[in-house]
Order: sequence, then structure tokens, then C-alpha cells
Amino acid sequence: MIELNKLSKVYQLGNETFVALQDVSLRIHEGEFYSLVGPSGCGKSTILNIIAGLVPKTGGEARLASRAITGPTREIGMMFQTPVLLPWRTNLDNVLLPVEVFGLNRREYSEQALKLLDLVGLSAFARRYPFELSGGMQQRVAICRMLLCDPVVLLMDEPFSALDEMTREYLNMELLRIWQDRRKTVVFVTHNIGEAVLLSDRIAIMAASPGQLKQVAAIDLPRPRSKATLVDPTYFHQVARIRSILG
Amino acid sequence: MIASRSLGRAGEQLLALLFIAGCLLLWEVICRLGLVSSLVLPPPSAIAREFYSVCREIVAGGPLRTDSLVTLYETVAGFALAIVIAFGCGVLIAELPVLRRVLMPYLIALNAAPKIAFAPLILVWFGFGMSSKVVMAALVAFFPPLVNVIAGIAGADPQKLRLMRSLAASRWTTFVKVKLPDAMPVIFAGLKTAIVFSVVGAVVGEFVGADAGLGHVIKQTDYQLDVALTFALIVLLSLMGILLFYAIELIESRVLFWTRPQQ
Repeated sequence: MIELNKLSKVYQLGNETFVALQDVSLRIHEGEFYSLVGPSGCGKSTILNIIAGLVPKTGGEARLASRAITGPTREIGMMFQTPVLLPWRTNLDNVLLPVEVFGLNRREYSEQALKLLDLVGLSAFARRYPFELSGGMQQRVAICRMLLCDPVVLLMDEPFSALDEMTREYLNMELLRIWQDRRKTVVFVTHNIGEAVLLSDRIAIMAASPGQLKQVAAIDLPRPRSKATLVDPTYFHQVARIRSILG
Repeated sequence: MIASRSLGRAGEQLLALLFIAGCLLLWEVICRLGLVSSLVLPPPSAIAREFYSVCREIVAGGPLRTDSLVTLYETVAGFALAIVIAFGCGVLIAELPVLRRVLMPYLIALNAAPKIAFAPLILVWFGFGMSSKVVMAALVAFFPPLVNVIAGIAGADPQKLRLMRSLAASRWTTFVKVKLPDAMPVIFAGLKTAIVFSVVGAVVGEFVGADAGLGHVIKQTDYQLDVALTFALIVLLSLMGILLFYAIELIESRVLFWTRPQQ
């Protein structure tokens, strides 16, 4: 589904060059939950932004569904570290934002939007505003917005890192449930190893300066995963393995 | 410790009232003792009496009502003219970097020029009637909203812009759905400055040459050395400015409901 071939990204800052990514090659399969972990500055967010078409690459190849990535497309749904909701819109209208931007029929999608809000337990807040919600609830609205137009690939850039541990765990479970149901291709950036192991089929472990791929590890934990996975000895074993690769 | 130091909201309001009452009292005493001539500085009580009769005349429909309405009209019309042009220019300058580079030096120069010095010229160009005062009010009020429209639109939240880019949103869509609403708090701050400035512009325009308006009346009372009435009219003009300011603030709190502090 996603192919990166010797991908590189170099930033030119005055006379200095900064290598954000060096020769990163990886393949992400359709329906796979794929995480990128590594220290800050390893270029994991840069990879995500290149796949999203938000940042141009400086070398190598990047393909989405066998086509070279040239810019943002509707096939991609994205989520960021913060919810980035528009405060002057109701939560329902925030979920419907992609529909409006794509020029689709609002009425056709509003039922679907309400269903999604119901799925994450927020149907009572559909006509309320984002500032009336907690951070975790806002991120759930952002999940709905990402899913509404049925994108093929979900790109999630540390979506739960600004939340407290309990909320993060709750949203991890929500995400697992939604993913189990829809089997989208997910690229998930995090610096939380436990979170990556819990969610992923495979994890790309990266190293910094210059940003490069260290190793790709398959996570051999049965699906569907749940809270019980978190106390499975295999889970701890996998977390320890990833940690040792990270160094 | 902290509790004993802070007066609380009611205490602070009381203190503010006591402060102004004290100042007025001191002023009254200075005048009553004959330390300054009442021709130069009338006591607050005399100003209050004049202000009361001004208010009565306005309510009764005397000539001062017409003058007040003329100044109010000039102020509001000048404000409207200023914000429409400032909004148009501001959007173009914020959205077109070329235009910004070409126009900004001239706009800064024009802003630095003492706009009040244009008043005699504007009288020549737009005549003795209200239109020259409207233009004067607009000229004085123009720059704060212009600067704020530019700053507001150029300062839209980069995260929201990234979201719109990830949705492949067009420039127009991004402008209407994100940049403009995101800029509204900054734009409203400019509007509140502009409304107060347009009162100044209208009055200056009337000073230079007019046959109606509160500025015109102030000039006449000044010639007649009716200082108490001059003060009363200044109070009236200030009141007009304050009311217009709060009118904008009221609109702001309705429009920008999402910026209100949450309980």
C-alpha cells in the first residue's frame, strides 16, 4: 500500500544542511497497523508528512497505492498530536469538515458523522462545541473527522501523547476496536513503546542524526487485542525486545 | 496573607470610585478657594450643571440633538468606510506576498504621517458638509483595523492550516473556513480602536470647518469662553465614544462566543 525507497529529506538552513531522513526504505501492507518509534529528531514525523504529501522529499521514492506521492489526497485521513478542532464549529460540524472541503453533500454524510460520534460515545455532544469537551474527548472527535470520508490510509502523528496515561489507554482501546472493525492501513507515530507494541503488526525502529531506519520488528501478539494484552507476558517480552533494539 | 492583601472585586471597584470622587473633590475645592479663575477652569459642579442642561436639550430636541446626531452619523459612517476599505486591503495584503512587499512601505509612511494635518486638504476636496468629516473619521480610523486584519490573517494557527492542507483544501476554502474566523479576535481588537479613533477624526473635521456637529459647537463655546459648556460637550463626546466601544464589544461577545472564558 505504501512503499518508501531510499527516501531522504535534507533541510537547508542558510549554509547548514540538516539530514532529517537518510535512505529509508520500507513497505507497509494494506490493512496493516504500522508504527514508527524512535527518539526525537529521528524523522518519524517527517516520514508521515511525506506520505501525507505535506512535505516534499529531497531524494528517493514514495508511493501510495503504486502511485508517486505528489501532494495531499482524499485517500488519506490524518490525526495530529493535538485535536486541531475549529472552536467556532460544533463537534458535529468539525467531523463534517472534510465533507465540506471535498465539496461533497453534507446531508448524505451527517448521518454517518452522527454514527461515528456515537461509536466513540460522544453522540450527546454532537451539537456542543469543542471547548465544552476534555482533551481526550476532543481527540475522539478528531478520530471521527479522520474516519468520516472513509480514507484508505490513516496517518496518526503521536495522537495520544498529549493526554494523561489513563485517557491514552482508553483511546488505545477505542482505536483497536475501530481498527478491528474497519481494517484500515494505519501508520502510527509514537515514542511510547508500550503503545506501539499494543497496537501494531509491525514496528519500524528508527535512530536519530541522521534519521534512519534501524530495524523493523513484527509484533507477534494475537488479535483482537484488548486490555488483557497489556498483562500478557508476551507483551512485556515484546516491549523489552523493542527497547533493546532502540538502545 | 494573600487574602488580607487582595480587596476582592467589589473592594477594588469601590476604591476606583473613591479615587475619582477624591480627584473631583480636590478640583472643586481648588476652584472654590479661587486658586484658579473659573473662566479658565470651572469647578466640576458647574460642568455637571452644564452637562445636565445639555442632556435636557438633547432629550427636548433642541439644536444640540441635531449636532449630536450629525457627529454620531459622521463617526459611524467614517468607521464603516474605514473598516470596509481596511478589510479589503488587509485581506489582499495578507494573502498576496507581492502586494505586501510593494505596498507595506507606503502604508507605513502614510500611517506615520500626522493624519490630522490632512484635515484642511480634505475640507477642500470634499467640501464643507458631512462628507469631509466622514472621510476625516475614516482616515484617522483606517490604520488600526488594517494592521489587525493583516496580523490576524497572517497569524492564523499553523496547526489548523496544516489540517486544511492535509485535506487538500483550496486557498479560498482555507481562507473562509479557517483563516478568517481564526483572525476575528484580532480583527475585533482593531475595530474597537477604530471606533474611538473615528470620533476623534469626526471632531477634528468639524473643528477645521463645519456648520453643525459637536466639534463645531465646542469651537463656538470656546470663542465665547464658555469653558463649562466646552467641558460638558467633551464629556458628551467621551460618552458617545464609550457607548460605541461597548456596542462593538457586545457584538464581539456574540460573534466570538468561543473565546469567552468557560466556567
